[in-house]
Amino acid sequence: MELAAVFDFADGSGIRSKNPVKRLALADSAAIAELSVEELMGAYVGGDPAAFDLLYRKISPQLLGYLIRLTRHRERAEDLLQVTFSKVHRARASYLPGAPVLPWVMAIARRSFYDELRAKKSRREELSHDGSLPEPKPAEEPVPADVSDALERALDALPDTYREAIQLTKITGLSMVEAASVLGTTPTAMKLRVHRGYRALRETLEKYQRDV
Amino acid sequence: MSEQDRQYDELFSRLGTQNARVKPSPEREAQIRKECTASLTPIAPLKRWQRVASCCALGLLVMSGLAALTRGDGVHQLTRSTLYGAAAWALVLLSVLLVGFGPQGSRAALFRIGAALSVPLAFLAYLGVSQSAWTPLVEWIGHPIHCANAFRCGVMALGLGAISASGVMLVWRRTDPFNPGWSGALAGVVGGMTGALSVGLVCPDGEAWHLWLGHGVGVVMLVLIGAWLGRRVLSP
Repeated sequence: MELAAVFDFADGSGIRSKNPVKRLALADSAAIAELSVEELMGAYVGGDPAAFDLLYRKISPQLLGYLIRLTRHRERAEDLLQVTFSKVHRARASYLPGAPVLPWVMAIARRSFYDELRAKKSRREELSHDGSLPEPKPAEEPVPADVSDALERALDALPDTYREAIQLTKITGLSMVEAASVLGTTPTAMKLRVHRGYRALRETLEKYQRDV
Repeated sequence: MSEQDRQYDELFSRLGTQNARVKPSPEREAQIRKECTASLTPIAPLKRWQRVASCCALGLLVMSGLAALTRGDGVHQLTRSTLYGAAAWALVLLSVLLVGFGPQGSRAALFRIGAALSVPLAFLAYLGVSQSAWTPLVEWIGHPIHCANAFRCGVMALGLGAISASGVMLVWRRTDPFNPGWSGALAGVVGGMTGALSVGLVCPDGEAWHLWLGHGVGVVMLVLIGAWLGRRVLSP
């Protein structure tokens, strides 16, 4: 679909099809699927709230999934989702038109997560609502019998660089190039990280099998 | 790819599909929509080539202006060196801006090359300074007056550089989610070079150790401070 046919940037009104039928069709899921996130981001930067809605519908599931995997906590992931979109909104002027949106947004989300983590580390201890200290984690959990559970646990045990590489490329579904730009590295380094991560996963799973 | 790897791929892809089905609460979605669409004003962002072209044009303009001003015999020596210093500074700024606005991949590669070259370059610089210095380093450090002068110049360079680096950070704030630390270090280079050049133009001490230690340490310090501060200021 031609960008010019859908967007009218000249008056800053964002999405405005010259064809009224097409304009109505923009709310359809089929029409949403036709528009790329880059086109929607362009319209959002152009000042169209409807474009934000479509953009949100397109990228939020992947983004929330990624954040849930990062935080391992639903509520925190939702908080970070809100923080990420708020930052995207504030930084939309720095978005390069046509540049891939998903790695840009993912990088903002990842950075927000690490900022939050850093801020938490500087706090001494968090108390629960009744004022007591949180329960310490058990030292050794039993080996999971299910393959997917074992795989998840093995993934959690990986070093951060390998885990993030696998999460972004294999679970979130980014390409090597996109994932590399999120992590600020090269696609070759990403391939290497995934390869080494898989090797470490194999070793851990073999150890689990022996233990079982 | 082994059979086991394919199995992992399949399991991970299934996990991804499961994750993508999770939705935030309607209240949260409403909050996000409200926050992101409440004050939505149209913005016309510059394209990458427009940003680079504007930096080049600005740099060329400054250079041409300086070249025109320094022509002729009537120009005072101090003015001439000030203008040449500013020209060198414009080149530094131009290269920093070009690297700053360059594509992410090439930027990371440039930084890696720079980091790899920094150690041998520092050693070569030390050899060069040793050759051009009037006194050996140990003897130079032994004079308290030398150290006091170098310290005074260092503080001045750091102060002037910090003002310049803060300006660059202000312009670049909240623009780099990818490598904010590196961008902060770049802003530190900009500030450090400004400070070193500004102090170098008025400082009467021409001893190589004084120039390198008194004027140069500020650059390193501002790069480190910039890298630390960049993660907080330049990240969206």
